[in-house]
Amino acid sequence: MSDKPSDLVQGTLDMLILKTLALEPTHGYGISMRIEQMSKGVFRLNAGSLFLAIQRLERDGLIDGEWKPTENNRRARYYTLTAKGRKRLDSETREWGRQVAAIGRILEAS
Amino acid sequence: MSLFRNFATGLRSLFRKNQVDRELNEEVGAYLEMEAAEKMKQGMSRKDALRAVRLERGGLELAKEVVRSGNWESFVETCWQDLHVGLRMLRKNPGFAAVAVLTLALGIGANTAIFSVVDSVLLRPASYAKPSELVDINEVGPETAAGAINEVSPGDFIEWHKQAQAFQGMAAYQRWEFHALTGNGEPDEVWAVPVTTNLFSVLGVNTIRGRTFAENETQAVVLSYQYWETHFSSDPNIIGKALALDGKSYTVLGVAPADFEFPRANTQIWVPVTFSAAESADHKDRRLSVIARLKSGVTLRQAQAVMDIVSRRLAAQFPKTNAGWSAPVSRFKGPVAEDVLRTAILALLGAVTFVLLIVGANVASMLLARGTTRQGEMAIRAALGAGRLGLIRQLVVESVLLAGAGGVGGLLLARWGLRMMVSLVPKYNLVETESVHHISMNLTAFAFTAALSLMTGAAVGLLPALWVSNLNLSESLKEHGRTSAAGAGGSRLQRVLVVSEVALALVLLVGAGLMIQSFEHLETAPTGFNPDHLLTVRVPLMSYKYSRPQSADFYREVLDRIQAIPGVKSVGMANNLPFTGFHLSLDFPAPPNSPGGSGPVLVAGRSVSPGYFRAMQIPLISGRDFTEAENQRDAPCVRIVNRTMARLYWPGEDPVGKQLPGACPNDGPATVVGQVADSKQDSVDSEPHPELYEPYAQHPFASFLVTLIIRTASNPTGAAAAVRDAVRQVDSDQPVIQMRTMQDVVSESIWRQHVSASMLGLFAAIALVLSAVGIYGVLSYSVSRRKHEIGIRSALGATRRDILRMVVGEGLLLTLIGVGVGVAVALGLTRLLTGLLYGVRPRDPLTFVALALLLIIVALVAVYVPARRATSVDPMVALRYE
Repeated sequence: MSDKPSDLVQGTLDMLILKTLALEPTHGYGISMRIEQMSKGVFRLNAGSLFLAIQRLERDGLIDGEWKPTENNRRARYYTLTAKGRKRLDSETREWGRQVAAIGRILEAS
Repeated sequence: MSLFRNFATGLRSLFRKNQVDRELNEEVGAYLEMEAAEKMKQGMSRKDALRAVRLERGGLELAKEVVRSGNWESFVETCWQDLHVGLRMLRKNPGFAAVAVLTLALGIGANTAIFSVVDSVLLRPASYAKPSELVDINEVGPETAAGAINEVSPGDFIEWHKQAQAFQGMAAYQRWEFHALTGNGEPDEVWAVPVTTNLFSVLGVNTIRGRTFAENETQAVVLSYQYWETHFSSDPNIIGKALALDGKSYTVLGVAPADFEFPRANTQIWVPVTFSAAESADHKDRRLSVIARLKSGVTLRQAQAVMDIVSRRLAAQFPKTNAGWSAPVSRFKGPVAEDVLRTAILALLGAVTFVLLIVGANVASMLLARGTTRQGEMAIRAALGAGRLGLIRQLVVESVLLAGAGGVGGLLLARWGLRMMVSLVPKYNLVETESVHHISMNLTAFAFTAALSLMTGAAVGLLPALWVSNLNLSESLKEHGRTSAAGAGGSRLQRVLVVSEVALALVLLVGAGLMIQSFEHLETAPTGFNPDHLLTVRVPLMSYKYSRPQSADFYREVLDRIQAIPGVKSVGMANNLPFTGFHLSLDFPAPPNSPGGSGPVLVAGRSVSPGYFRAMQIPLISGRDFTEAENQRDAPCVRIVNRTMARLYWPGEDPVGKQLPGACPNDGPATVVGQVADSKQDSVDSEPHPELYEPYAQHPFASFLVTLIIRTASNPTGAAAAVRDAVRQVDSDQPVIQMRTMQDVVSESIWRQHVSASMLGLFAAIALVLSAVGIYGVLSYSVSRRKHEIGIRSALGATRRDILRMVVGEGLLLTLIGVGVGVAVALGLTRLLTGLLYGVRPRDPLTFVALALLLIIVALVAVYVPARRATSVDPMVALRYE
């Protein structure tokens, strides 16, 4: 694996954001940091694609945003998972698991 | 749910743009700040930290751009911006915008107007249910001349109705019937058609108000929509009201749908016809038209076989009246536009299509020229990050904007044009089979314009847009303003466009030239009578008030009174006027040894008063006019023939004193007492038929078309009031209608040619101007692009003359190629006008040459202006221009 950050597999960013928010509500930077930490630096998001995804999820009603003060006295939008978002996360996680297992079996077969 | 949420959020960001933008700014800003703070914790300076963040995560503006690109409202916004920019660009070039919008308006306007006409006259969908099942059934006997209108006797209709099993229903109607309607105000006539009570159900048409006739219903009427609208102001409570027809009272049962025209467009009222016992047994008086609906699955041929059997049975049963008679079944055609009108409208449709093509070529060429000069602007935009798609979108939005404005203008022009066109159509047209007066701009036409403007805009915009946006960035920035490869390609395209414009314009000019000449020939063509100083007026007599002897007395008295009016030189009367599109046709046995075979001959019959020929100034060739003594019911049967009839029956002999067997009401022989010169009966462009005149009191005739002809010493309309008074003195309830001069009658009879010549002339003029504008535009552009080259040429010693010759030569070459192509196309197309032309051949060489010259001269004028500009190029300025 190269030491440059990888591009995310298409469509997985939404799932990762939902997963992050399932642990704890946080702001955009929090989401970004957590994805980076959990992937051990493999996935680094740029601001544009992160907020694009957030806008999409919010409009779809999967997450809710709310302005709150941060630790160092700024304002940031904190996002929480909605019930609909949780359901989506569950179904996408299951689907992802199935696909990974399937892809794994194909790759091992050779 | 989420769709709604998406929409609501989108709307919020559209309308509370600032706040939404501020929030996005703050949120992304906070993100970047937090990252920077993190880096500063690790010991970076703030400046370095911010720089690193920008590199790693992307800058604030870029991030915002990405986020915005993900929502639909930003697309709306970009279009809105494009629109703004487009409007600004157009405002900066008001001349260009005005010419382009006007050009488009002309093209779209002409097309909308003609499309409205096509839609309401030619495409008019049949208002009947399943029109393919409807058939006409005629009666043809051994004596029927070809081309005669074949009608059916009531007895035969009733037998058919009973015996023919191939039909779901069969209805009969009378083609012509007149009723005087005496209501409030001036006595007026109404066109009423007697129909059997089942007609509406056979046609499958329902009333929009009230109901149609019940079986055996009498003294009831159904109104046409137009009659209800114009004579009863669309009275919603009309049903059940009484209407006086011919002095009898009728109840209004219903109102027919607006698009229901039967059997003609000008039918105003339908009344039920019922047959008495005597009529039901009458197989001789053939006066009905029959329409029937085939049973589903029955073919025309099967229906014909059934009718053949029925006809044979009737011939055996009633040999005296039906032997040799058959009943041909044919598809029902409905009120179709006649051929001349159809050809005229199609010619106009072709013409406006040409105009639209010219308009398209012109505007495309203008946008192309403008596109080239905007190459620099486009290059700068591209350098600043505008995508190719964005550039194309901007240009397309601009041209759609032009086309939209053109569409609105076109709609106004179309309204005006239609009004003008309808005003050229005469109001009184007895056999008006067209609903020309009902033409209005309809919804279809409006949708058509809208689609047309958008399509024109997109098509015209896309061509230069594709090409402009296809440019090589650094090349264009460097070469901006000078000749480039793209510029050369563009001007090649422009030249092709100009050549096609010239060619199209020439085709239109030739078409219009031919039509206008033909119309002039028609206007001055001899008619056989003298239409100057003649006043005509219809005095239809109400048959319920006057028996036939009484009506003869009535007219005699009216004629005497009119003769006594000062300024009236002579007065005559005929049962119908030439050129009104209607005359009686008699089947006459062919003369012995006739060259046309032994079939019966169609002879025009006209009942006239003594003095008719004097009033019309139709010269007497031999013999004499009728005398008042002959104009009596029981007077000896006498006739006057026209020259064509005399030549047909007595070639080389004087017809006076000859006998015409079977010409009298009692089938006895008539004596010819005079021979008059031919005069045309139907229209200026038709040859005279054989014609037989009779004294009006000798023969029963339909009185509803009776027309008085008054020859006056001075302006004929001056006698109008006195003539009306003279009639009213005899009978104050008497309708006196359609008072007009014979000149008007003649010119109205060629209204189709008038309308098509005028409109074609208008379109050709538009085409001429537009192609001149096109040539001018291309050459001015070419001159401005070649300023540098012209400067060098004149610096190297080229005289003003040389330069003038160069530019004019370029324009002339384009024009000549266009003229050549146009002549070739016109030679092929004018053939289609043959049916409309009178006195001029479709390939008339003089017309072709004259109009080609006209086009070349106009083109030279258009070329001269930019050529002059080229000669005034100062070599010093031109060379320093770079």
